[in-house]
Amino acid sequence: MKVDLELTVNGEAVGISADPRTTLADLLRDHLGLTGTHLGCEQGVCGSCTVLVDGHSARSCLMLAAAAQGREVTTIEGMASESGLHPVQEAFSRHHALQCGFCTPGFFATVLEMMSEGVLADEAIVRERLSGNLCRCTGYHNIVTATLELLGGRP
Amino acid sequence: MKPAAFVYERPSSIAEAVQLLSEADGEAKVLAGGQSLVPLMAFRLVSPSMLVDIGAIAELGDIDSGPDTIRIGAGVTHRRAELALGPVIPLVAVGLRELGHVAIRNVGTVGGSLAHADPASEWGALALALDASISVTGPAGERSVGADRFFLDWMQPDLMPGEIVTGLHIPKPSSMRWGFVEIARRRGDFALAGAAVNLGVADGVIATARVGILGGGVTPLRAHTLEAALTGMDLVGAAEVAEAVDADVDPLDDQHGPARYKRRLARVVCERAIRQAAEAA
Repeated sequence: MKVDLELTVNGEAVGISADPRTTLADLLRDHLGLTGTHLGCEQGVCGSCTVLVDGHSARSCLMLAAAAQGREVTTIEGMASESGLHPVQEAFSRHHALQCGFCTPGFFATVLEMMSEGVLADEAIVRERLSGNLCRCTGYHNIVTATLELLGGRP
Repeated sequence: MKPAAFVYERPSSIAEAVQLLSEADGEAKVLAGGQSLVPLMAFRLVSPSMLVDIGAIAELGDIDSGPDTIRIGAGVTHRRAELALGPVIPLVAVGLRELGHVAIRNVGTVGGSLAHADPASEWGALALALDASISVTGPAGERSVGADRFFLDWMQPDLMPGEIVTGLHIPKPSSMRWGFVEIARRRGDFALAGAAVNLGVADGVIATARVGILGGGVTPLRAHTLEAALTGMDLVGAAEVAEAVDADVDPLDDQHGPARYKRRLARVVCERAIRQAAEAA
């Protein structure tokens, strides 16, 4: 038996029926074609699938799509506009804060939440807040630098 | 890594949720924030026939601050509790900062964590250290259980079939010295050991002591022996009795290390948490 869902994804109202066991990540990727949300571990550890739900970071592999009923979801596809890159994308690009890019959409959600909360541009705080997102390429250093710059600290 | 099929219900009241759970055939489970349950389902370690999602029950989402107690609704997320309780009971905020990562705390709930009853639960240790009680509603009505009677065995809370956790009641401490320390392999991982210490101090002497331990056995547990050893001691230097916790813990061997290593860690976290309580201004 499917459940009928209504939610907002990247500013657009979505009405869809899905099997209750569908995770939010699978709804985004397989039902809505938003494959920018990446699934790494599917057990809440790697952080690659992190999206914003009502403006707050959430693991889309650990949330059932059904539980996102009525919520507002923002994915990586909701960040860039036709007029150009989002400031987070620009900063990550400038500081070489990504290599393969698999983990990057998850980092963006985490960094966007930090920016909207006005988190202090302090390296220890930034490293703690980023600790829920795993990156196997960069060694984190450039991600921390880009994030500090976005939070208003010195790059 | 995909959950097995289940029937999904999303009631809008506690009464409706209790009824669904009582009438369910087979294995029905409550879905709160899902931050523990969904990965268990993805691994197929559990495959409930029905999920009763309590996320739409508005009355579970309240935080009420009374003159003597704070009541946190079961549906309140860790993150909300962390931010709301920080100024009132800093021990809670500091302890919750060790619970997973912000993205987990944004979704996981107080009630879900208590009902999951993981031995490494920060909420378990905090509830024990703060002499909190847990309210539960089921087919037979409402009841309240002290935190030190709630965790019965490994992942086994004092919940009868059809019962759900509805809230956590924390007495407001008039004045307290506190400490919280936990050790994990990596930031945000399950704790190998942790201690929540709540000391009532008069004229530099510990009058009352409550210590909640996580990772010290099959449940979050209270360190009665350590509490007795602390009571009556001068706050300065009290950390030296931390090894009394040896009699309270009974850790298990696991892939992170043998029981004797975790026994040693329990002593270390208690020592550090007591010192933290002594050094706080």
